[in-house]
Amino acid sequence: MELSLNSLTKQYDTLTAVKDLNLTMASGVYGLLGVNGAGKTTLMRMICTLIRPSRGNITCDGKDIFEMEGDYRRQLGYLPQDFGYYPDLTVFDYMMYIASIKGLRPTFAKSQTDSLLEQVDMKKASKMKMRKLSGGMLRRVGIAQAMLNDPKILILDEPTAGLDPNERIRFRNLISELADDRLVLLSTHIVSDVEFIANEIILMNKGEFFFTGTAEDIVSSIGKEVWTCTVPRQEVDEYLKRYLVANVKTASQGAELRILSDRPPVPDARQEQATLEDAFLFYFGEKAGETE
Amino acid sequence: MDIEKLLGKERIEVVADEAEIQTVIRKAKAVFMESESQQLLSYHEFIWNQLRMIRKRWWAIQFAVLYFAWLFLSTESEIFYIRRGMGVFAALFAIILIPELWRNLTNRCMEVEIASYYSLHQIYAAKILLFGAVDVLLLTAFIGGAHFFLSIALTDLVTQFLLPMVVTACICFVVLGKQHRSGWLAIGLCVLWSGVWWAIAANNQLYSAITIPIWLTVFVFAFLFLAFAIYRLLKNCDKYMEVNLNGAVFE
Amino acid sequence: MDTDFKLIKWMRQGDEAAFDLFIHKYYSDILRYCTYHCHDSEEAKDLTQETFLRFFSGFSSYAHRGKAKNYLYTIAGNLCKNYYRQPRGQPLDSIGEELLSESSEDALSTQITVRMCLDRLSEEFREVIILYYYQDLKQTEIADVLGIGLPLVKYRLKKATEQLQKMLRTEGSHGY
Repeated sequence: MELSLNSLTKQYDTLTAVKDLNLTMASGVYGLLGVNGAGKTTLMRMICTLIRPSRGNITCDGKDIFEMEGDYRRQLGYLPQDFGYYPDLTVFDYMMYIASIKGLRPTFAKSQTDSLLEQVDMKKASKMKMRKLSGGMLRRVGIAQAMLNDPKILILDEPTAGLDPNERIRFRNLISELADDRLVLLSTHIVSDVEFIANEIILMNKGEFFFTGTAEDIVSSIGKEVWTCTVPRQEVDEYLKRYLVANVKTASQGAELRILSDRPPVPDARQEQATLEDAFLFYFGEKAGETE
Repeated sequence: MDIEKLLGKERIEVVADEAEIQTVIRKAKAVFMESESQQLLSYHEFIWNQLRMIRKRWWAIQFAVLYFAWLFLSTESEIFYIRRGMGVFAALFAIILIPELWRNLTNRCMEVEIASYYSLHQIYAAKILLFGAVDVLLLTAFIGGAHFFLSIALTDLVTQFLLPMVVTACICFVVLGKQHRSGWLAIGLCVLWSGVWWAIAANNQLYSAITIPIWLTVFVFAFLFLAFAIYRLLKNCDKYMEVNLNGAVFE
Repeated sequence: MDTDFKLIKWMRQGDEAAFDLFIHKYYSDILRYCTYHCHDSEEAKDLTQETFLRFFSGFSSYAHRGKAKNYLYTIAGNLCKNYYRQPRGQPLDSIGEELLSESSEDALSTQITVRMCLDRLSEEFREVIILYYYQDLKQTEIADVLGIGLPLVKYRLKKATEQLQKMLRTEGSHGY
């Protein structure tokens, strides 16, 4: 099963949300990394047939997904960034409703609902009304509904947004479990979400892919070294101006800076191992989302 | 020669092995579940599920509206008030469509729904079909009852009750099919229309100047436009995400 | 006889107890029927299991029109027909001990004779004999199972009975 983006472009009047994207994906976890406004959601919506491309197309095993209609959507599972739900339904009823619109027969729907709610640890809460669920619980139900039809293609748009660090770790593990032989496309601006679970990471900015590769590939492509050094507090601003500073930490003798540079910024700077967070800063010019 | 007796000697008695039966049961369930997982939910079962989703309270309220309309018709004798009152009841009946029609939108469920096998198009079609069926039933009973028991002319019922109702419904479907499809906008426009109709109904000169055939023609056009608005909604509803609700072009 | 209607409905909804009841209800009949056809108890068990599995794999689209029992017989009949097409030993060789209910020689020779005559009947005639005399189905049910009209069932039954009587009279006279 192969999903291909072919010269995919989406233009709104003067704004090009997605520019001439080309990519072929097979089964595995793909991490789409980028800041807000990079075009990640627009891309994902196109893959889910919510929006039509202005130019180019998306093919699944060679067939245009918009022409495939129901046959394509049968294989699709989607968790949107803005996950809406019917507040007065119970978790179980909501799952059964989604199962019915996904075209699942009732006995199968029930067995899938039971096993998925168990897998996302919502079995005990299955009689709770949707409006009473916390953010984390909602996301878990969200991912359960996306998995109902055992989709070959699973699209998760910022699934960890608003979750606390523990829930994010739990989510990451859940996604790893579900990956199996599916195509999972996961978008986020939080590096740690995809660093360890993605087979391939795609860096996206201003509607374009500007790097695709494994986490190691991306890190080694920085071309700069990473240094940590301690500087007096009053000099911090100057360093911020002169160098690419990944992190500032207050230390006993001043401030500890993590700097990306070809050469050591100060003679006694310690060299560190570059991480994906550093790569994010390097490419996007800003810090990656929240760290754990 | 009794063939039965002779054949009877060939009779075989079998002892069914319970363990074997249990194996068959287990495998049968598995085979059934497997085939269920591969099969699609049929369209009529999907519609049945949509029926269960629709909150019946709205139908109960529509019934109540008709009930009060009936009381009003049977007690009020002044034509002047009847005309205006019926207009209000009619608009109210149609406004009750709004909560269920807008439900997918207000709860922002449309993204998941468009990406499903039975897409938003089918969901809307099912809702409209179901609401349409129930409402036609309610209205037929009401109109029939009003005509036969309260001896009100059918043309009066059509021009004073159904006409404002159909126009209100048109407003709802047109707004739902537009980009800026706020439910409150729909309600606001419907109330506005209600006021306009009230003014028309109150103006005796204007009302009598327009003859029955013209009213009926207007009704037919309104009905055709309603059908067109529904058709256009169903055709365009999958384009929901083309422009973000907040007006932001992309995110 | 339409307790089956409720069972079918419950099974459709995935009710496990209904599966249990349904299969228990018809297992013996189908097993006996398959045994009449293939005379091998292991083979008969396999065919019976296969009958139920086929019934349930098509269950999603099963439209309960009339009797589930007849439909089971139809499936079993087709499976047994395919079984016949496979090469197998002479009927005499495959007489298992469990099939002999009496040990007296007379009874034994009658059974072998009846079986031989049955085997000599055409497939269609043998089928109606088994369904009518051994499975105790009504003629209308047999019509439903075989997918033929009631007059044809009556005709086949009459002709099959006549043929059997003729064969058994002939055999009988040779045997003594």
